[in-house]
Amino acid sequence: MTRITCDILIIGSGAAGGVLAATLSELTNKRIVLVEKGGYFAKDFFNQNELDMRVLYAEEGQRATVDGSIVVRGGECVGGGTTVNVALSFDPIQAVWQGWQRDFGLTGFSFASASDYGVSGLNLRSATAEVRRRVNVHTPADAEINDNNLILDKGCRALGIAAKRFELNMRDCIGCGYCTEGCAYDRKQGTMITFIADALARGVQLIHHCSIDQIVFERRGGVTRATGARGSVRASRPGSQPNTVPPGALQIAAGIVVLAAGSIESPALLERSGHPDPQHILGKGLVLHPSLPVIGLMDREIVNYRGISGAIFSDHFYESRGFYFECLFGHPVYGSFVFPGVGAEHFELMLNFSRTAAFGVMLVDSVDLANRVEWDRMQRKAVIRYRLRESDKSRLRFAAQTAVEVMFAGGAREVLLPSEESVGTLRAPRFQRAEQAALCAELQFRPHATTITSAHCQATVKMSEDPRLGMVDSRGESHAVRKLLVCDSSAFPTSCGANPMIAIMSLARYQGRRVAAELARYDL
Amino acid sequence: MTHRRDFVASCGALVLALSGCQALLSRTRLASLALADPHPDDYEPVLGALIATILPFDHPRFPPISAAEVQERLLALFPLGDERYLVLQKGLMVFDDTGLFPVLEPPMVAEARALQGANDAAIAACAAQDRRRYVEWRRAFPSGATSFIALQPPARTGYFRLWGQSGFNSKALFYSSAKRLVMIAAYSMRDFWRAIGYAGPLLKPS
Repeated sequence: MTRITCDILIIGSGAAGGVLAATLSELTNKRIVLVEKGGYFAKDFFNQNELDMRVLYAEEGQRATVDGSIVVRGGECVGGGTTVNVALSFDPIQAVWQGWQRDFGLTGFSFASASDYGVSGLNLRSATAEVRRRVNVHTPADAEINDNNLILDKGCRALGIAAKRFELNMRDCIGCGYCTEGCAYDRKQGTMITFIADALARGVQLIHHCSIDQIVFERRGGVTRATGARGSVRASRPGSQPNTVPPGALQIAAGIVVLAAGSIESPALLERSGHPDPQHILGKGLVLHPSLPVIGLMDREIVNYRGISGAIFSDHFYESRGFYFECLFGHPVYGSFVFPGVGAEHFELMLNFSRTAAFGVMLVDSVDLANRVEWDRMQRKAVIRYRLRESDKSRLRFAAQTAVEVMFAGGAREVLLPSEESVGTLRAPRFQRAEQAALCAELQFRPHATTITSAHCQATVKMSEDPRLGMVDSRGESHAVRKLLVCDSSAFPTSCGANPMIAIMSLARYQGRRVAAELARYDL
Repeated sequence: MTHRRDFVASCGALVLALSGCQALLSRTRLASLALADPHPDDYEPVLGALIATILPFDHPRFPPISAAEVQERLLALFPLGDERYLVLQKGLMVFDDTGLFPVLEPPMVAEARALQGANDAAIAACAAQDRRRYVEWRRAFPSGATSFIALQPPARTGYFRLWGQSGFNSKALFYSSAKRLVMIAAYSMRDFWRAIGYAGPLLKPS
């Protein structure tokens, strides 16, 4: 048994945990421990092989909803999602946060140059600006836009749909196209090589391959407090950086515990720790941004799997219908999952690999408390229960139809969806003409018959000043347990309205600065 | 830098998704299949026939790889002989008995209620649709064969599609998972990359 004592324990080293560790080590002299369930893999490990790099993902990339129909990808390694995402950077959306203030009673999170909680200069805008600087958020240059992205751009413009260029957290990207396998060149500015590197340089202890079984609660004088955590450290996988504690049982005593394990693991850990849940809301109201790939077959060879994967997007329908078109491309194993059918039909589609264009519809899904995360004691894993709401299906049908039209307008000779559902007289949504896009109105999005993907889980440990609506308050402090904070995508009350990385990092920077200024509040 | 043990563990997670197929293993005609642990000599030929259904080895542009080689790779990645793959072994045996397809309704009712939130009418509609499609398939491919292995290739494809088209989660899950297992084995091979014009990683393998 290894025993460690610290002032601040941060559980999870992704977009939130990495920023928290850096911020708290920058602004305080407290002893900080950062734990990560996955491994610590540096750039030399990232070999650009889809299969080998599955070790960077939760459940080796196979985490799915309980019916097996939606693969829910999430980074499980030092840096978390920021190590394996494609660097798409969206600032927090002011209207969304204002909506949370209105509907969930959130305080703080000012977008003006305010000093929230009386902390000089503390506001969400400044937190975002600091994050953007550290991870080098910028717009890629013309020369960096590959053919696949240009097809989305062309298709949108032809139909009068506004297309934009993504902002990306990269520095001098070489355009290898393997962001999702970890950047082998340290050009993607994920938290591992930015905020966590800063934190380690300031003496933060990082423990990886570390599973936390339980946050320890202590009840004294009628008050429940978090006092640390229990877990275990596994032997490191080959290729990982060295660990700071040996394999075996681990007990960490901490002044405060900050949970930043993401929207699947955070509620599961709270549940198995016995965190009170009098309103039965823990883990409930999961949103995961269901995404539908759209595939275009071109008459010519194009550059698709090389270059920056996501450079062009459209938020044209965000306000009115709640979805985005986002350019993305995959490698052959992923592609083979997405192409419909089997046998010669499937293989002939694969033969078009170098003439294939693709982008995704990303739906900002609405909250349904039946969509939830639960800790399954028998399987000893978090179980994800999720079904598309009928109203979301309706929006997704419109999005699919429009996306098909965009792909034709971009120059595709044939457009297909990753689906084996019959529409009209077609055995599957495989269209030869743009007019056939209207058949998307018949899609049912049946589990397994249509491939829906997800990578942005949120809103399972919601923030709200009202304990009936949220597990934690605006400071991220548990309504029921003192000295326990939750600071990650799970704390968003609903979808943050876009790819969440920068919103999560901004939240973490904000809360980190606030905690540093309010140490006395935590007896630190 | 392939770490085989890690990768096997990763595949295990995928195969675990097939545990949904346990709903297939609980009633009457299924009892003997459920009780007996299948022998590799029984389930491996089913897997081989599935591989030959999912991949078109006779296609003129197919890479110079045999079904046996794909199966060998798949079994190296997913060691089906391990006890942890028992559910998949049995799932393959249930799948092979084509006569079971239309009678699989009862064990899946509870699952349809729990997982899909289906009511009695929806469940009855799914079952009726499965039976109708099964009859159509039988009519399209008349044969005395009662096992998937014994079917001719076009009939095999039609039968496999029945599973994908089913409104019952376990059947559709079997289809999508089997497809994924075979695709992982195939499209992680360089011969397939060459066939489809994928140049592969920029980094040279170490």
